[in-house]
Amino acid sequence: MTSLVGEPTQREATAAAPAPRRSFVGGAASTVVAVVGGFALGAILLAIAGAPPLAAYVDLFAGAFGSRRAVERVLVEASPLLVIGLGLGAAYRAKVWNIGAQGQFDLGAMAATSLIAVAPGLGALLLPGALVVATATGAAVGWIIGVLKARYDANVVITSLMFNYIIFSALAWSVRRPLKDPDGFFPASASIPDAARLPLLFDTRVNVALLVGLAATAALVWLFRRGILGFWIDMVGASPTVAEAAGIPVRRVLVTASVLSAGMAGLAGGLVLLGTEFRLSMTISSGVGFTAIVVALLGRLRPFGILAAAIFIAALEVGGDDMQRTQGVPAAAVRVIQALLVVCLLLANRVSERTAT
Amino acid sequence: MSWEAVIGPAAILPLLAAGIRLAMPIVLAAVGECFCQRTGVINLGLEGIMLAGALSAFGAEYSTGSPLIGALAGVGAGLVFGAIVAALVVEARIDQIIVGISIVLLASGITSFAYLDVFGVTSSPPRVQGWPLWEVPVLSDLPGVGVVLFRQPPLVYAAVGMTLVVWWLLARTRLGLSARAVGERPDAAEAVGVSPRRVRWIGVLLSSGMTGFAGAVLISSLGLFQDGVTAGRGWVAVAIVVLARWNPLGAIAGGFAFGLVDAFQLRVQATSGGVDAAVPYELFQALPYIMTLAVVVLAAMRFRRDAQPAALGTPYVAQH
Repeated sequence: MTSLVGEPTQREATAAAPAPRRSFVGGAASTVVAVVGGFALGAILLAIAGAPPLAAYVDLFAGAFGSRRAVERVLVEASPLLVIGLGLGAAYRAKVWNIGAQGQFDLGAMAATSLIAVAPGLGALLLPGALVVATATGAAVGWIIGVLKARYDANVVITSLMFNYIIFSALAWSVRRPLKDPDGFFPASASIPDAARLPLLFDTRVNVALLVGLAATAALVWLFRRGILGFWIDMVGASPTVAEAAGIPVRRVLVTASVLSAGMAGLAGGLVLLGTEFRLSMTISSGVGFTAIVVALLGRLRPFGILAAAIFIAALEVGGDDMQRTQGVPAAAVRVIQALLVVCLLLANRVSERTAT
Repeated sequence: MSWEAVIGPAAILPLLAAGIRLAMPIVLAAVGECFCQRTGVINLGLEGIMLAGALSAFGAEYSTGSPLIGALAGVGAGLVFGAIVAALVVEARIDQIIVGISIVLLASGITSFAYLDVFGVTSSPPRVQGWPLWEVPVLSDLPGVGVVLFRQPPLVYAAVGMTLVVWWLLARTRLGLSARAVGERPDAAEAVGVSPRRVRWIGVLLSSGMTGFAGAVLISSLGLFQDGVTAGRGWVAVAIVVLARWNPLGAIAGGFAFGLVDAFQLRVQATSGGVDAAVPYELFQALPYIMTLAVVVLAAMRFRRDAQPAALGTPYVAQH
């Protein structure tokens, strides 16, 4: 029942969003149902496209886990998804719908490249400095978006998205002109010097970005279990008016959530630049900012869920390339399956909510 | 680049005409979304729905050669995705923002996949004819106005007609009154016999169908399809709804403003030195989005939210 002021009541507000606190079994069960449902629907799509679904799925998973190389690739792919996804999960819990992770990622990569280009002689400080700059520029955009939301209630989806397009244009220009490698043909920056590259873990092909992701996971688990900010974020997300009445600084929380998610996206941009790509170009992100949204939603906005989702989605991405090679199915099928998983999860959540209350 | 070539006397009229043509998809989507949001539902899936409509229209026109069938296919695709949105938002009462984002992900994934699967990767993309320009007899010979307003593809006139119909529906009919009531006080509306569920379904389907049609209009003026061809127009349409304070007539004006900026930046790019221009062309590519961002911020700062439907974004539980 809507109240007289038209403001959703507490029950209404929490009923429809993916509420972070629920029984573990109920949550796990609905995730399993969602995954099965999503793959079932995906199988229909594959069949329509003329590929035998079972064989395609076998190729998909074999391509992701079938060899040590593949597993390493999955972990490398999962790291930026994890970092961005964790930030988005935190923001979404405050109902700050940052869709601009893509642009914030690009900006972070641009900033890191710029630092290396203007100050290559920093030596040991080059790598951490580049990552700090990457995080800071992403966070700056997040701050703008957050303030616009907190002060003027500007729609975060639209503002963050517009930044995506604007930043992409800036990226396109930067690799064509100021940051372009003078010796190269394509619009791309010069290769990142070894001093700035991320070290690898032991003798694997996995770089330390994975550790950054795991550390961030731990930090966010603590934030939401023990930290006051996590509690405030959840309260603001549930109902801003109730939170305000309870004395929570709603505006500051909104801005912080936005800054956090954008900063982590920028950091991911730096990590990918210095750990995998080693060169700034227009395709540096390959859509990771949007895939991370899927990761955050599939992970049901909880840090451990996002960790699992990041690995799972990374497996789909890596396996999808294999599936394209062997079955002739466009890798875009993976994007469809991911979206189907999200929709199925939304439905499964809803059903489990209805049966729980 | 000379300003003469962009807005000089010889260039200004074709610029305005192009502005109208480019504005149409956004106007259609924005007007439909106005209606939908007035019933209290935010349909955030417009970008994906427009893409789906665009691909369906392209595919249908490519295989049948008929732009009319393409347009109908666009509407059909819009309605299909609209039904999915309505089922999730009105029936299952899932958070409208998340549903919108998910639908965009789903629709853009499906269109990307379907296009690649059917057409594959080609060096020169397949094209369709689109509608030829239709010159309104007598009126198109008027100096100035004639070129701009009366020499447009038929879809433009159809789009203008549709938007006026939606405005009239919302402002002057019983359905429109019911819709607005549901958007403000769904429980009160239900008490007098209106079905909020039915009205919201209509709102979602209307906005989705119009947005699918907008995709068809886009394809008609471009003549081809490519991944992400909508380039954010669906999102801009949602922004315009707020700027227009949920008034379809305002949405028409806002959409035209965007179309004009779009036409302007394209013209600047075409007449400048290209890659050697002093001002980078990427800046002009970003111009429509910079403008939309500025507009959103301005609207949020200046306009008080009293024009916003009170029940916007709130799922409604029937009170039987």
